[in-house]
Amino acid sequence: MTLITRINLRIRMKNSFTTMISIMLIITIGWLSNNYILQIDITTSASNTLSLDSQKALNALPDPILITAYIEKGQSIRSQISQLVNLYKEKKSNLTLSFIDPQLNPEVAQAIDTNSEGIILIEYQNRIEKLDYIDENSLTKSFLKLANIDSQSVNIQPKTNSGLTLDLSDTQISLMNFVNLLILPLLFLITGFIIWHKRKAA
Amino acid sequence: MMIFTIAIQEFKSHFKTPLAWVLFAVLQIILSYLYLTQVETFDLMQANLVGIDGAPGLTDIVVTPLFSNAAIILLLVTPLLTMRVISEERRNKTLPLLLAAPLSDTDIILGKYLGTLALLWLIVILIALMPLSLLIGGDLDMGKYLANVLAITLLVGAFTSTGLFMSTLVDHPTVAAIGTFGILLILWLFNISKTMSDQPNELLEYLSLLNHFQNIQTGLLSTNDILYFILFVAFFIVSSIYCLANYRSQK
Repeated sequence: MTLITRINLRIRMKNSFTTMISIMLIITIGWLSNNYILQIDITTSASNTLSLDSQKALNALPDPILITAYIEKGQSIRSQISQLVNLYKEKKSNLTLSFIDPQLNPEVAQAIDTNSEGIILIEYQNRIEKLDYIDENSLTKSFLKLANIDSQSVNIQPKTNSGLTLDLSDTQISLMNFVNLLILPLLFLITGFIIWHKRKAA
Repeated sequence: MMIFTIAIQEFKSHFKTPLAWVLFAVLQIILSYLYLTQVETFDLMQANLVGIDGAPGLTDIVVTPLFSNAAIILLLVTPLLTMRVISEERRNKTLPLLLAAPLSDTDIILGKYLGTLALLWLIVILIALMPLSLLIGGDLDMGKYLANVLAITLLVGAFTSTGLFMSTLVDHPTVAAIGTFGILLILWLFNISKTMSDQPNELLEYLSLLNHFQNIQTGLLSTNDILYFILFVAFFIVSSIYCLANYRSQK
């Protein structure tokens, strides 16, 4: 074995070792970051923050809560439900959400009498609440019922989003179209053409 | 310091060919067309929105879809920009020259990465400026808007690192582009298990680019989503450095 081959071998071993250590470190940080999560809602409308009523309802239910949604696979409502339930999960770790496709499990679907739109069951201490429409208001009310707290007085209003109106004149819209669809692309194309021409000339 | 010299050189080199300019023009046309269609949709439906509780606003109807569309288009475009970064140097036999310079492999990879990333961030600025024109006649949820900008900024960082890795791995730029596109598309589609399965696979869900991108888009910034992108970039940068170091020791 020549000296150069030996040095190369040593360098390659050192490289492999450093890479392995780095990748292991990446995996460890990834695993830790998935288990210890910090969140902050930066939306102006606070649309990702639970209202105080919902937080109080969760505090009244110390035992595990099981939410089962009987909704067909591939429906976008599934991700909307998990997004909403994730906000509650953030405050309560022993809350579980699972999905069941009623088409694939007809006997289960029949037993719980689900309609075509799907249904959501909330189970707490062997008691069950049924929901056919889910939003923060209805979910929190079900939690309050399960906690034997009067839910009549609670009414969580959906968050008001900013920018519900757009007041642009026809001229302003035409100007936006003109600049975005014509002026800017033309400018880029002309510059590209000039560069191409210069390279060709060179 | 050498990292920035390489980065500036790399950034300038993109503008010496017409490719970057043509891409700018094509992206501008496609994205502004999609954006203006959304503005028109909002203009037509705004009268109906006022009466509804919790109705989606301008940001939800115009800004979020714009950035989602931009993400898919950038998934197609990034491999074209990154394919040449290292593989062309290898094909033109100029890589040994670069390796002979007093630069470490980390300098070369990070320099090339930052140079290409700067070009993609320029595209991101172009996209991010579009919705600001809506402020003339409406209100935007600035928090959600900034979250969208952050999401796409991190996403192009991830795309570029994958492209750079593939470019370091193979000699042919076309193969590098197809490889990058393949990896990115697979990672993008891992998200399908979320809606298609009753018990989504947690690992696949964690690995999905789309999942983390959409989470940031909602405006709920979470440490694990942001760290995912940073770790994603770190993984591909480390792998690229390893490939380059191996190439150097073989020579």
